[in-house]
Amino acid sequence: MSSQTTPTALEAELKSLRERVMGIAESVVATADGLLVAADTATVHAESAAALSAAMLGLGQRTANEVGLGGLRDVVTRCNGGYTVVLAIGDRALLMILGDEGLDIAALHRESPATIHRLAELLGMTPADLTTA
Amino acid sequence: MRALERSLSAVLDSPGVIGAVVADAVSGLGHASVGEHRLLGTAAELAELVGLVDDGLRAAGAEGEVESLVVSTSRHHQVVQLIARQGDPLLLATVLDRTRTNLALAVRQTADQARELLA
Amino acid sequence: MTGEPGLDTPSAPPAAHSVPDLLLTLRQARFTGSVLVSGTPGGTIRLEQGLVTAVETPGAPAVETLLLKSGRIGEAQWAAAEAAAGSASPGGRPADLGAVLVAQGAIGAAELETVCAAAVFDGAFALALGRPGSWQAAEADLPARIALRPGVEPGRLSEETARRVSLLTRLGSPPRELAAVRIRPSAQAGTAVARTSARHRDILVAATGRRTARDLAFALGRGVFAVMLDLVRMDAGHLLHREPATAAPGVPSVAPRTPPSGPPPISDGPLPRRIRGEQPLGAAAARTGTPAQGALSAPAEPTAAHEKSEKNAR
Repeated sequence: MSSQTTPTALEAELKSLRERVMGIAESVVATADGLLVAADTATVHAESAAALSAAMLGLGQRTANEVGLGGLRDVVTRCNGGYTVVLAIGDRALLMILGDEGLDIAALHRESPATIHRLAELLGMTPADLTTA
Repeated sequence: MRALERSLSAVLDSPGVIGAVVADAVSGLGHASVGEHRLLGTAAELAELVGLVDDGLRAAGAEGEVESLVVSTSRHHQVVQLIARQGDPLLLATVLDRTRTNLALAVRQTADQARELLA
Repeated sequence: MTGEPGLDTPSAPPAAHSVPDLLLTLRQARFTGSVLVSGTPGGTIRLEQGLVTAVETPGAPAVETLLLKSGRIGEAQWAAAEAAAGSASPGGRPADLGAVLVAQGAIGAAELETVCAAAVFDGAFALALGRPGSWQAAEADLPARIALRPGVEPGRLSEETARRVSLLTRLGSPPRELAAVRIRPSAQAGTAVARTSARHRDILVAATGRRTARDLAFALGRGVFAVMLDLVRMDAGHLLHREPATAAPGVPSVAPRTPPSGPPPISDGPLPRRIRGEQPLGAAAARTGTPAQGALSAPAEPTAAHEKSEKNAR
């Protein structure tokens, strides 16, 4: 899977997010059980990223429940060379973002709700699916 | 005073040197300058000169990297020495009084100073 | 900064028409603290005695990136210095990370200064390319962990920023447009690569067609301005191919944007060769968002001339 294939609406949405937020390098949409749906990737193995991000999100949600700090917002991994951010799209899908160490976190927080919303629409979810997540 | 300014002041103590500049060889950002550095032009002009020479040499088929440039006028020698490092190179430019030094010495001395500058 | 009302709004007092003006005022007041600039990209300008010691922004690599990505300092060395700096002053502020790196022999003091200074000027350049939002001064902020001391005079900072913008513009690539261009090697690059410098070869390898100048700078651990200069020179040698602007999805961003002040400075320099009429809405919106006054004041582009050529094109 690469971004060279005919761009679907999902891939276009991912590309648009990459262009709106400084520092986003690659991104992946996956189902909640880790199957790849769409990818805007160059170097990472999209299937692996999808599987890992589903595991990260699940672990994050269980951790959030356990520690009683309220609902999970996102799962962030900070590495020497950048970040990964995993966001839920309703309870059936997720978005994983890879960014460099200059990732504009403020812009990501500003832009991601609308992106999640549009991705949910493209995945055939209703607004109710999003709010129950 | 910053450490780099201290290092550069030491360059002025060498025979014949009357001015010196340290700059980023790519961006042209001036880091420090001492003595009669105006004789050398600005840091941006020095970086532009290095770029022009590099482009010209490559267009002519030369290989390798530019290490130094020498301009001699009737009164001065100007020596621009590139300082290679991890990341973009710096440059050390010195202007020397012709009556107090010779060209070979000026080039050799500036190369030595460039090596010691960042230590 | 509580003493001066209105510093947090760009339109209010004559003392703060722009970030450069604000910095000059703060220099006179020998202000120590931070100026937080919101915008795209935003950033934090660190001040000590009114001198700029660091500029942190998503738009340009920080000192850490310049040192680590260029390979100047290893990750293990960096981690060791961070640990030492954190434990140096229990309970108090962490020690200066730069001083620790020098003390541990990871880098010489003079060389570290050049990297810190380069990051300050490059950060200011990146802020000047952004769409400015608001800004405010904050006294209470912790000082930067790694910084240039003493810092840079704000006047020198805006002079150098203006030089950078005008140099790129003179070379035919106004930096605000160049910043949006994504680059890949041209078809000719393969044969010409033997004659290019190692620095330009690194750019060719990193230019995947997905990266802007800023992205390349982060990937290579170099300054954004230096990468832009190289791109312009490589472009002159026909080594580069600009990816066409992508068609944004039908739905434009619903996020709030800073409305452009004054007429949109549309420029038609040679680098971003978009085909007129095929521009997606999103791209047009992004281009017209260019501020009349950049965050660290680049000189305004000759708007009138551009408007004229725009009319001629229709």
